[in-house]
Amino acid sequence: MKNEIVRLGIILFLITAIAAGILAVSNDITAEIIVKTEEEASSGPEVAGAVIPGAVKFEALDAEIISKIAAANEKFVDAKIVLDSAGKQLGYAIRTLSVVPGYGGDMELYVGLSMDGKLEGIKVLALQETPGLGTNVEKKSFQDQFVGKTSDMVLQVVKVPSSNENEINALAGATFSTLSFTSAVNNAMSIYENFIKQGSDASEIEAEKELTEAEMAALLVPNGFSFEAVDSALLETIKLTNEKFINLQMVKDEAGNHVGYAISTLSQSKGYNGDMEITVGIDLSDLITGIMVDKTNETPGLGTKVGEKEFKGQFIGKESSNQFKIVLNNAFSDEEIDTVAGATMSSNSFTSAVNNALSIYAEFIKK
Amino acid sequence: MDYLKIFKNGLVDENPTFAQLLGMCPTLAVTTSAINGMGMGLATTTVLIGSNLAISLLRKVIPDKIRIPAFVVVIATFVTIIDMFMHAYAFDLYKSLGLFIPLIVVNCLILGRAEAYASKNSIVPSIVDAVGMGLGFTIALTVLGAIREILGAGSIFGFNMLGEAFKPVLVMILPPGAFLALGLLIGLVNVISKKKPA
Repeated sequence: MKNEIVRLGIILFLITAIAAGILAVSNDITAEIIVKTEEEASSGPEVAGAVIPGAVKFEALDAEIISKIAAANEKFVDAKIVLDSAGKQLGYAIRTLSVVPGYGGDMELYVGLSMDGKLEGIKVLALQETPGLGTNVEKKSFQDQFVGKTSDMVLQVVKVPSSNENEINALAGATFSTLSFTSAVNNAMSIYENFIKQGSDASEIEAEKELTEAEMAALLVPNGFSFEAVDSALLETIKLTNEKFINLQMVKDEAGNHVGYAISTLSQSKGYNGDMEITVGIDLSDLITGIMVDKTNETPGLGTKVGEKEFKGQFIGKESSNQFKIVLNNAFSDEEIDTVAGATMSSNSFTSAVNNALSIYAEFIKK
Repeated sequence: MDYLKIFKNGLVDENPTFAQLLGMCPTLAVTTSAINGMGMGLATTTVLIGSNLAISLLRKVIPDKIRIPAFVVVIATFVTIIDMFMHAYAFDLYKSLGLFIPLIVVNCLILGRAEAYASKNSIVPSIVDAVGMGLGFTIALTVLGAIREILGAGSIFGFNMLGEAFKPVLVMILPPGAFLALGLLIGLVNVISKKKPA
């Protein structure tokens, strides 16, 4: 009896072992081809041509930008540069899932945008909608509605004939699928607008870092041309009393006249991703004349907006004796600052850094 | 052994779909178009030929007590091979059949033939049986897929055949259409086979 069980076990083991061997061989034969086929199906010439007419291939986009987008946008899958046969760049292709699920879960699309942000074409990579109803999103007549829209639009789905430029007609009997499809397109367009487009936030902040000394001085204090170190004893004193303080410099104009001060400091309250480093420019009449973001790890497209004129402009021209606070509704008094929508933490962090610079100014410099 | 008789037995007399009503789940689920039905049928046929061959070869080695797990291992091996090769060489079909390829493992048609035929017969009749049963299954799925595709989408094998004026009967490619078409088709087959003198 005991032998019988062992015998059965051995036979079954042999059968499974042979099966495993056969499977290993066929896996070896097919694995490489499967990878190639998958690659072809998602980024072959056929897909490139569907995404932007005339295109034949994709090229990888800067990995740093990709990881930035991936950190900020959970539906984002990939982004590629789209090239024609001569290697000329025609635009970008953004691969994303839908934000609103369709009838059968998320869809996956490749959305092609030209260099100037016009939608050129869409390729559906995966969808599980109802055949004959939801799958109509793959039809050209439906997708043609999207072609020519620009990346700054937020598209809306309507059931009556569309009257505005940003409206898309829902497919009859497939409103869910239309909504899901459109949400994916909107997501792709906002990714393009915020991260890839020339002069979008990410690249603007980058640009500020590469300014020359004269340009920086002029941004901080009007007529500024150069920086000059202040008395080192003063620097040491400030450093001892203020742990967030980084540097203090005098700003001079082209003729060498003293026109103001530049104070660099970290923020007192953390942003979404640690401290940011900013420099505040104050002129001799004690007014705030300029602010620059030197270093920030905030979310691109949201937190980084504190570096844009719309937000930081709120501080300019105000008395350095203020201590600012952020408000969610409309700013009312001089000391109130409107937060950046969706980036309250970053706004708060930025403001705390400005406040720190101002208290240093009041304590050590102001006469 | 009359091979033709074995072959005809699978194709017509004991047709897995119309007479034995085996493998209903993939039958109902994948026949949204003729090509899907045919692809599923052929994939199943290939697995069936492989498993019948292997089980017939091993029928004297496999002890009776562990025949079911042994059969399942053999079948699963062939299904996995088919799955990998379709993924590599027939990507579009692979995508549209999706989950139903791995599910061939549990298609009772295959285990049924292994148990009822291959484990009791020699190699050649087992293969003939597999081809007959497999083709019977393929034809049934293709016919069902074709009917549903023509009525539900106005096309056959992807080619538009009824023109723009035809308004597709959407329900035919939705799940209820599968039951309607299959039921009517089985009824039709029964009527025809009854008229024939036995």
